[in-house]
Amino acid sequence: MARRNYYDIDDILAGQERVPCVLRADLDGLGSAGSGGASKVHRNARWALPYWMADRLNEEDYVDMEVSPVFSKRANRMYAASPESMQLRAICQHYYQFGLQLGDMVPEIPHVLRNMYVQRVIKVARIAQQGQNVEALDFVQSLDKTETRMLKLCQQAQSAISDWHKNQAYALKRAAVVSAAGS
Amino acid sequence: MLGDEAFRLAKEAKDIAADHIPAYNEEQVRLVTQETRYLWTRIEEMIASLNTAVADQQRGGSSQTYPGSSQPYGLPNQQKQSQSQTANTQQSAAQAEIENTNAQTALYFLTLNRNKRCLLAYHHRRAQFLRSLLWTLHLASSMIPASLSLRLSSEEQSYARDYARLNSTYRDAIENQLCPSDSLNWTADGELPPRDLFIEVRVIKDCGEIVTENGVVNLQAGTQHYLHRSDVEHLVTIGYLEHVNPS
Repeated sequence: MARRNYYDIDDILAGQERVPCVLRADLDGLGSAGSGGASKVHRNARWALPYWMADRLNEEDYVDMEVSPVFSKRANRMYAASPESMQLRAICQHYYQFGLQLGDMVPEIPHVLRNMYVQRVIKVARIAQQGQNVEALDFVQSLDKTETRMLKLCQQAQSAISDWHKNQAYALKRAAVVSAAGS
Repeated sequence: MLGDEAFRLAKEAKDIAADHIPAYNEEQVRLVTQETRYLWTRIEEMIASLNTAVADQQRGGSSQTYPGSSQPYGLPNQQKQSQSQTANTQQSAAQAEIENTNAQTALYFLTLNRNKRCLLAYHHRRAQFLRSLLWTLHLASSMIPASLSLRLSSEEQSYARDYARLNSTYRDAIENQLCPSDSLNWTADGELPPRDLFIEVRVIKDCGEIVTENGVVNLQAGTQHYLHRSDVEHLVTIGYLEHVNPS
């Protein structure tokens, strides 16, 4: 378990997403200029903190964390209405990972995520099978990181099938590292 | 923002793909460790000041100065009637200051752990890449392409050498146990089962001569041979030969 969560780079990247908070104490070092003394934020001010910070400070009651706009009630209604047309890359690049981390706070998140994922992944798989498709470019550009990885996997599976047709499946190949370095 | 330097390291770790690794960002690692050490000294200072402040409060809270903690509210000249009032504001101000310091300490501590996690994940990912690289090169750490070894730090290069040596020692020990007079074929691909006994290969880089079961074969660049799979498989993986497929 530690290996999956602690060292997982995607987990770290997704935890950096900002959530709005109300501070309960004066805090230093939250400005964009680094931990300079001039960037003190006073209590009862609203500030967007990264999720990893906000979650733990919330437990200690030093801030009050609110639900990120990515998963607000209004946003959830939009997601339920039309999953396939949502621009996930614009909304939040690590949409699914972030939703997993927020899961404790907002109880509907599992349903929202599942709905989105099931609808979109069907489209992703269909695009992967069609090869180069210019019309689907808009959709491909709106995928978040998890979905792009899924797309790449599907495309690899497709090329594996065509390799097998050409009797190339069992050909020994030069390691990717060597060919990238040697050229 | 406090955790940003460490986040940059995490992003670089994400860039590592099967065939590409960015250069070891020594500068960034140094920045993050520096920030972490600074945070730790600040935490120690703040805890020391908190201890004295809380002790003072418990003693009655009416002392004039709080050694170590910064008092933002000046002490006005009290008159007898407002003395209790000022004592109260002083109390609540001190309380607020204590809470601020508490929150600040918590924040610094969280950032410290986040920095540590990012550092560890960065190095872990790079070490993972190194290990898989070594296995494709059949544990010959000297065969790492020069362009790649430029991007590794010196510690990573010695890690690669030590890992290769550790594995070879282990392998030899196993061979001595299982088949003392023979040697096992360690270069066979563990995941892809072999299809045929002989394969057709074309030589790309000059390998010199190899010993096969049918005698000595001279592998010169540009020639094509039909050889036992087990003899030449490892040379295909590292790019010296090319597998020609009769399709």
